[in-house]
Amino acid sequence: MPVLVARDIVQRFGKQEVLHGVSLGVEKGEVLGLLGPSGAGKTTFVNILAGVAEPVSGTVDAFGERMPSLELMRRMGYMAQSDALYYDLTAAENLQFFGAIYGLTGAALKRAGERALDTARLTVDPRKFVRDYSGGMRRRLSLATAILHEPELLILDEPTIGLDPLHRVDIWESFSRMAENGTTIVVTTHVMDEAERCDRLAMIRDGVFIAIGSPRELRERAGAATLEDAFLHFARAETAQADREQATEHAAPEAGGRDA
Amino acid sequence: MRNALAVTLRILRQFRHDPRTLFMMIVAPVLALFLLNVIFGSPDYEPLVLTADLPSDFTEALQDAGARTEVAEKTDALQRLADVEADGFVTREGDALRVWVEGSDPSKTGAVLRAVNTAQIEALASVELDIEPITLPGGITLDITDFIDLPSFEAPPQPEVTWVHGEEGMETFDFYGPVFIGVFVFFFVFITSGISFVRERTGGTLERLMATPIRRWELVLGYVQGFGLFTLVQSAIVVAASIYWVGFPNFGSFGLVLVIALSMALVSLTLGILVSEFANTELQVIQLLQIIVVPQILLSGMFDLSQTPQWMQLLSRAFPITYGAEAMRAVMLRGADFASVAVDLAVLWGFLAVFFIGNILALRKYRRI
Repeated sequence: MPVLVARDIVQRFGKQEVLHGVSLGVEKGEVLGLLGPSGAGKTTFVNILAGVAEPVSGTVDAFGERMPSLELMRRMGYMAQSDALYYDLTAAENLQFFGAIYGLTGAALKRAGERALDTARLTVDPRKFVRDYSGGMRRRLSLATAILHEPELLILDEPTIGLDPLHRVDIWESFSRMAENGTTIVVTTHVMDEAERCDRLAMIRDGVFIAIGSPRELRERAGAATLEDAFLHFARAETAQADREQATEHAAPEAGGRDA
Repeated sequence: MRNALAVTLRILRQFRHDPRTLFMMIVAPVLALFLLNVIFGSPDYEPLVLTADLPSDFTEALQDAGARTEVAEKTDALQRLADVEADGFVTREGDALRVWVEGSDPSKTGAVLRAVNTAQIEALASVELDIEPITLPGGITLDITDFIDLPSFEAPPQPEVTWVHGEEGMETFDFYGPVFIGVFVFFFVFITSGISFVRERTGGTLERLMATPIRRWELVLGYVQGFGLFTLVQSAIVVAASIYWVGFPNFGSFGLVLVIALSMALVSLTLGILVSEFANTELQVIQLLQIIVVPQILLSGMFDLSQTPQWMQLLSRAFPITYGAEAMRAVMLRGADFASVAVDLAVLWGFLAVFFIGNILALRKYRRI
């Protein structure tokens, strides 16, 4: 049974529809990548998965139960696109705060914090405030706060943006290790080499999934050498289909008009 | 509940790391109250009155009435009034007095006219009828005062005054002081809490928190506890400094004044968070402050509203500061006890409850549960 199932998700901001009824299932221990340009609807979609936004229509089930639910959120970790840290606190105080909300205290909290920082490849200065950290350090601390409570399902929005390539490789290795240990990961990216590391990819463009499959499958289906080319192939196919649909929609009333 | 404590602890830590905010929130209101007290506590203004062709006893009477006097030619005097170098010019035209005033500051104009009026009464009282005995032909001296009582023009004695509330020597500002204490606490708590919550939203931490199992009421309660603890200290320092250092009169219980100040601070805190919902930047919090807090201050009863149109009086009843100001005055100036201000306090707590629930509902925008 999939750990996470999203069905027919439609999201609108004002009049603009940003997700046009997308569906997706994620299996346990899988690293699923959402690949697409900015503005495609990646963040909107993962926010709905994480329960911090509600879709206009459609449902999300996590661990077989309907979201949003506080009980389910306890088993999930979420890393937002913004660092979402308290800049006027130290790294340890940030970890203590988020840890406390997941019920971690004392020695358990300390151990969890050390482990999370290690996974995020971050060494912290106990006296330094987060506002004095570099963008890359903040990103890694933000990741640490998301994995602190060892969630079974991890939702990450552009976790490696602004990171040193060496740290990026390390962090993706951590993701693979976590997935091997049974953690399910949904991660957005617009970087092709990161997409290559995912077990499965959902290519998203203008609020629809244009293709879903393993990186290798997608390349083969598109007959492309790289994921970049595969993305272009599926994007063109989608545009062509949308044009055909629009043409038939327009043709029908015109024909009716001539008859009258 | 545990989550609320985590939020409280976090807020207190943020305060501890930010000594400037701490300093500002305590020192700024005390400084403002001190300055106001010095301004209003200064001696009454002595108007400079120029005179021409006045008898010396009238000039002395003017001085007794609190004016500084100088003799001046009419053209010269009028020029000095035009240049705002003097406050008034008094001379005689026929039997009547003629007065010019500079006129741009009503309080100075009033001081000149009061001095002239007082001097007139005094001059009248000092007139003594003195009738010399008449020596009639034949060497008989007739003293009329032996037969009739001469009318006396003595000024009436000062009436005895009893103070039901307050005491002799209270200054104008002492009436406004209690209101200012409440208003300042309200004002500074509003800014700090509003900005703090806007930061929580714009920094993404609010959304981040909504992805954790924290309940919406736990977040709001955490804020109220964290800021509540801090405002308790702030109110205590502001109230203590106002009474024991700046020297505001307080005829009531210090504890009760503190309870009122703290209630106002908590209302301000929850209102500030609620209002920050409509602000996207810290600057917008200040802009909203102008429209939400400034009218409340103006209509708080700081100025007497009893003669204003009814809509304004009704409007002032819709504002929490009005009830806080009323209770502050009742306790500090009239020594009211808890029972007498219970209604005002109950209204304040009602506002607190409404804003508290309003905040929990406003967070539904982020998460339904």
